Amino acid sequence: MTKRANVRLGIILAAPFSLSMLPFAMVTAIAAQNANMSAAEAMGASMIIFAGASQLTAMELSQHGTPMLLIFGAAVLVNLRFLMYSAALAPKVRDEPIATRSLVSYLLTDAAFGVSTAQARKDSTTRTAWFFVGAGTAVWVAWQIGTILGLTVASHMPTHLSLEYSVGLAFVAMAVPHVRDWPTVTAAAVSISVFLIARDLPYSTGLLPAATAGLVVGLLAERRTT
Amino acid sequence: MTWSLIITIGIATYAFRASFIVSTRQGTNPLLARALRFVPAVVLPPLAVSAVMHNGASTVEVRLLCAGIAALIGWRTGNAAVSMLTGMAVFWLLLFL
Repeated sequence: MTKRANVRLGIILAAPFSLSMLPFAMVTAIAAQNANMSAAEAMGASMIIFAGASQLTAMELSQHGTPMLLIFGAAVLVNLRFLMYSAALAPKVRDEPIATRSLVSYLLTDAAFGVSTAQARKDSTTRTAWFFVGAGTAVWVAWQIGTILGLTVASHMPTHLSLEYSVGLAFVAMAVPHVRDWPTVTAAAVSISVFLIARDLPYSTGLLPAATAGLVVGLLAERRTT
Repeated sequence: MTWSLIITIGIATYAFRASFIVSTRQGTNPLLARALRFVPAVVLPPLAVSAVMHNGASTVEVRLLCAGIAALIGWRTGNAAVSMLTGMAVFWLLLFL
């Protein structure tokens, strides 16, 4: 397949996933408005961070007056999974020039990674880097359009619709795929419990002991089952 | 949330994304890889509970109920967008009926 054909295939196969990103991008714009961010800051976050869970985490925490360092820590923590994706993708793009690999890195998201690894398994002649650039671009465009839509919609919707509730639902929808087996269920349950016990701690700082306890219990639970 | 936060989070996130792709470093420490797998599962659920409890009209009970329905649908269908939209529909239904 030519470069161009690979890119085109990536765009086509990622299109349905990109469409389903729209509501999430819109919710990040709503969360940005709740956090008193300007439209430029909301767009900046979508372009520079370009990671939904991280953007929502930072915006949600900054509403509670959380210290900068903790906001930074939590927002970065939810993106640690990109290390795993990066490691998994690296062998498939090793022969590409540095510019291509830098672009692939910027476009790395859950959706683009999922579509591309599925395609690489299905058809070994796919040139993963270029397929990925297509898939990643489709997701990127949807993410920016969704943010603009969200900024427009949120400022015109009456407040009694309580659109800000969608922020909580977006977190729920993002969390569910990561809680998929016995050890992760245990880890999540421990983390939620500790967080609720520690919820009187100021500025959501309870998140740190909660995540640590969940992580330790999860690793122990995994060791028992394997 | 300020520009300095947006930019620093952006840089750290890019560093994660580029870590293995741009450098040609290979392989991860197995314990680290196992721990990384758990990170989203221990960070996102408490944030979900907190966001559901603090955002939106209606009572906390109604908000938690709708979130539970959305979680169930997300788990069964594997489709995050459907989960979120259904949760919102049920929430509006209970809010306006």
